[in-house]
Amino acid sequence: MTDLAIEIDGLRKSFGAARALDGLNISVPRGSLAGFAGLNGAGKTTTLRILMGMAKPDAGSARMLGLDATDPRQNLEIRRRTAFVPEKKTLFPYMNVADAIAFTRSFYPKWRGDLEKKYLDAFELGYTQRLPALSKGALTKLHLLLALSRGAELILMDEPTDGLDPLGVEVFLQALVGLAAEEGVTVLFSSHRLNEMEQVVDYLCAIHKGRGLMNAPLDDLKASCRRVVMVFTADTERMAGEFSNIGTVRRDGRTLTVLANGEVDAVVEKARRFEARSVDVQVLSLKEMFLELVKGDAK
Amino acid sequence: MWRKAWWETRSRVVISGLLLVASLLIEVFVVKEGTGPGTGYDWFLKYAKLAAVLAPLVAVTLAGSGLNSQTHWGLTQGMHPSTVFLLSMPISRRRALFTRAATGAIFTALYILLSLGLFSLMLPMLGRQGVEWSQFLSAIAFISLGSFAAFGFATFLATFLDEQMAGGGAIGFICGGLGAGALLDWSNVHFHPMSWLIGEMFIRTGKVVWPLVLLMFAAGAACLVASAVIVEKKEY
Repeated sequence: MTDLAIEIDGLRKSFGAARALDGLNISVPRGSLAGFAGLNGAGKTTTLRILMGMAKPDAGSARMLGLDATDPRQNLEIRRRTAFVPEKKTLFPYMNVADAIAFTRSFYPKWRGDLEKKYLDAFELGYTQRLPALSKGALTKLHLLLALSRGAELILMDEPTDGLDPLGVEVFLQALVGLAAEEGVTVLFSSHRLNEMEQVVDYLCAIHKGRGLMNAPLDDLKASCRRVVMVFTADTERMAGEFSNIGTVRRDGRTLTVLANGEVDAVVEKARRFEARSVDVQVLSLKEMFLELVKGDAK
Repeated sequence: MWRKAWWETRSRVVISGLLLVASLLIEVFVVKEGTGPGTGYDWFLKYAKLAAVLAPLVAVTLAGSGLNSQTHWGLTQGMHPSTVFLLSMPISRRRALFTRAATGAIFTALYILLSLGLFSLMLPMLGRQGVEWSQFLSAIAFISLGSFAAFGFATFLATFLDEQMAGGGAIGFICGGLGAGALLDWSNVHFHPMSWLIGEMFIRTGKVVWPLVLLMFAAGAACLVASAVIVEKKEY
């Protein structure tokens, strides 16, 4: 059995002339609580749709739980063992909360009644509430309840905190940590809120323009990733090329900024050799790390 | 899934029921005035013509639009959110389509059976001779065939059009077909489609016109198979 819950290799997908995925490679180890970061239109939703068998890739492979996600039969087995929270959180308007739970539960023999009751209380949902009467946040909470109670081995979530109030976000993040730590469930969730993501994830996949940007344990990334800001007395145009093989480089007049991944000493050494007036090595938050990489990619 | 399909169909079943009651009332209180002293079967044929028009319309209504019926609950950039939720569960697309289509088909069949059955039972109460089993079954069989073709066509349209467009398209097609049939019935041509469609031709002449039977059955079946193929390949 592979140690990877999700393996995506060279995934490509276009919608007409628009290229959504451009040779995406990412992987998520089993038991991880993984964040899936990317700007709008980066390809996160398309990736999740392909993994859930709702869209077909033009090329490449996508595997989940050791099964081929692009094969309809294998994807059916994947969906027996996986929970999914879609980006657009709508449900069937003729149902109430109890109906939605009963309908979802009927597909999952390992349904967790204890978690159902726990999240009903935590999210302040009632069985008799009619779905059309639920607010956007309450509908999101119901989607989360339906996903977290399935007894799934793997949970994929597309913007799960969208519409949640701070308390709801807190309950959700605690639930994720509990499921990953105590039950060994693998979680991959996309979010724009990188500060929230940083609080709980232990693994990070980031994509940009349909390509993989980061794919590693968060601790490794944070330990090895540094922003080195160097100020020179002369113009930095010629020097920028000298650093491009070490990290992502940004140039602004006499200032060079290098996002170094594991080779901070080499950057500092080189900066000294080029007689930098000042060298500042900065520890980055996940958000800063992501934005630096995106900016570097844009250049 | 069956319960969900019932939830999604129940309002249409109620509408069909109201249509059924209305058609019986119209027949008893309005059409009766225009009926002569003919046999019970003559009056039954008049009602069967009404049923032959209403049953395909009921079939179109109940065919719903399979997975696409959820589009108007939140169509966004070509994606159908509640369909996405449904398909994220361990259910094949074919089964999702089949459950919905089968529910619609069962209620369409019930409509035809109840409609003609109740009228047949009412005939003796209205002072007319009852219809024979062969006359009753012949009408049931031919009207079911027409409704099956309409049902298949509506299901097919619904796999790539939204619910309103699909329903409108199918109803337009059926009305066009029935209108052309009615015109032919009034004209002097040898073949009378409406008479054929209510089983009258079979009862009076013993002719079945098998090519037409096969054509309608094949058209309905082909539409349903095509719907399944389209739904299998579609991206949500």
